[in-house]
Amino acid sequence: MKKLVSLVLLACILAACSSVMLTGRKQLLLVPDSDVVAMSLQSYKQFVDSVPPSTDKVNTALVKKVGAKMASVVETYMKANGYEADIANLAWEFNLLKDKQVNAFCMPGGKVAVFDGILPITKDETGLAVVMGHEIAHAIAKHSAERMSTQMLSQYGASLAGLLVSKKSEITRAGVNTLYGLGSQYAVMLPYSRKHEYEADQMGLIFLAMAGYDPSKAVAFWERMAANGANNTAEFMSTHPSDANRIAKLNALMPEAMKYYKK
Amino acid sequence: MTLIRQLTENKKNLHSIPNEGFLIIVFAKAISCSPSSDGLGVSLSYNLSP
Repeated sequence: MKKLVSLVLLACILAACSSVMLTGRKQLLLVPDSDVVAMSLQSYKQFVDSVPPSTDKVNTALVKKVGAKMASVVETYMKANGYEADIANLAWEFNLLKDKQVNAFCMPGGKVAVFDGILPITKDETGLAVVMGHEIAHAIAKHSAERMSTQMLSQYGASLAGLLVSKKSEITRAGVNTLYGLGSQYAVMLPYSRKHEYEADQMGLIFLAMAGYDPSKAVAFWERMAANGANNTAEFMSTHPSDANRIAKLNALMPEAMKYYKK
Repeated sequence: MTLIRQLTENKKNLHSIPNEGFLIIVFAKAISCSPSSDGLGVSLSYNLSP
């Protein structure tokens, strides 16, 4: 029976496997990207409607210009490299919002929002392009659909674990439940999230170069972010890599990114 | 019906039907169904910084 369950599981997982553009990493997508994008459109609109747009017209225009420029080169690359079908799920939108947070975010389908609190850190067009490239990469790599898929498996695993100890004492059931929760969070979900961040850095760096921005400026941007001190949580407890590890990986990736840089 | 509710109900069914084969059906159903509008409570967004 166990063999049969394993075979069904393996067959389902293999059927849902795909690979990420540029990095080639295999990913599990149990949720169709189109479904995730449909959810994203509503969520993004609700969020953008709830936060006032930035009153800085110059930088609002710059966010839209840099976003459109990078999206254009990314789509050109996708068309030339067999990812044309994925373009149908992209409906790019780039907004600058009035909020002092030093942050930006992306939702599936290419819905990007930048908070104007990050502008002193981005400093110039290239700094902004570093942010946009990273966020665009999350959308292209379908990270949200992958995270949702992992969460689905994790929740089903919790149900199975509960079933296996259903006839045990209440203390045992509670212990198993707690251990499973901690294990899935620290051993699966958080490392997964950090992997996505590193991958977005890697892809973003290449997108930056493809769009004609000097990729070496990405390191300077992350050094400014580190100096700002927003990311002080120990890495193993965080959804994001430490700034120092991020910078080290970016430096290691620089020779590859420079191949795409057209001066 | 949300996926979470489906899983919860399936779990209840599993308690009442002691048949291991049912596990396969439940598992296949759980991983093949699309998330509903409220999904799994998973954030759709990816922030630049934590």
